[in-house]
Amino acid sequence: MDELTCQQVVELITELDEGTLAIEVAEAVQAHLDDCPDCVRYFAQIRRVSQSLRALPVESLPVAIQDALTEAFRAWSTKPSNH
Amino acid sequence: MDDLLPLLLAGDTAAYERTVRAWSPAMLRAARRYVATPASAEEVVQETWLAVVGGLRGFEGRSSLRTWVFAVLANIGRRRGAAEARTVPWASLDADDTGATVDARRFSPPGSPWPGHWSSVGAPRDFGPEEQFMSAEALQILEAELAQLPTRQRLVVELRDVHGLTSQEVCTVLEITQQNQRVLLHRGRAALRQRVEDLVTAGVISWTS
Repeated sequence: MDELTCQQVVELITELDEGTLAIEVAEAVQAHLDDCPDCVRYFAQIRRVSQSLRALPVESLPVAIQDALTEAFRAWSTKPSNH
Repeated sequence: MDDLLPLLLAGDTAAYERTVRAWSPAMLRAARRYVATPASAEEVVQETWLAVVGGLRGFEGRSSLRTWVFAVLANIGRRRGAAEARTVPWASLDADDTGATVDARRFSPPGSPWPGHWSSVGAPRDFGPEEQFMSAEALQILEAELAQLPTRQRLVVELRDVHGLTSQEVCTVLEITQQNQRVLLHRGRAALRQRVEDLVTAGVISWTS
């Protein structure tokens, strides 16, 4: 296929990383990256931002609800099985 | 995770508690696709776990246990959410979801020697040395920027990149297509990257601290 421009390539990064690009398109993207340090930098920045998100704190289920769920699980597990 | 189902069926409380602790943060976030408040999200997650335990003996293993839990959550969330009348349309993409994710002015225009390639002023700015991790302060800023994304982009980026769900799990729990998920993820990540670049350019954050 025709060579891709940077403007096209920057829209393909997610599909590339998800593995959903047609093989010839993935190869065209890679060929472009082999020669384009700016796009390599852009891709690296997208990946770096998304990897950094891993470090963000997350909210947990309140302990009171976790305890209630544990009690319910215990009650369920002591009931005779129907199977 | 293949070992988990037998443990749960055997009544292993410690295994159950570990699973609830590990999976509930993502479930709480995903529930927000259906219900409007943190309290409602907690109720959805609690109901989900109760339904999961109740259905364990009948679980046929056609999907992974985790995917199944997310599917149960989607069902319960949808039922609850109908009453709360969510106004954000989820199933279709809208005007927010089309168009380029990088400003066209950053590329050389048609008729120039290298049309469509980064211009010298438009090329991505250096964020700093690769081996530097984000400072705690920069992470706080990133978190704030994430909260400003359009709702659907924010939720997909959070579930994939903060909580580590697979694309299949995200599609199951949010009830969206793979393609829509990819579009939202792509746009969300590109928007975040742009915000980081703006802040680096403005000297507000640096990656070299």
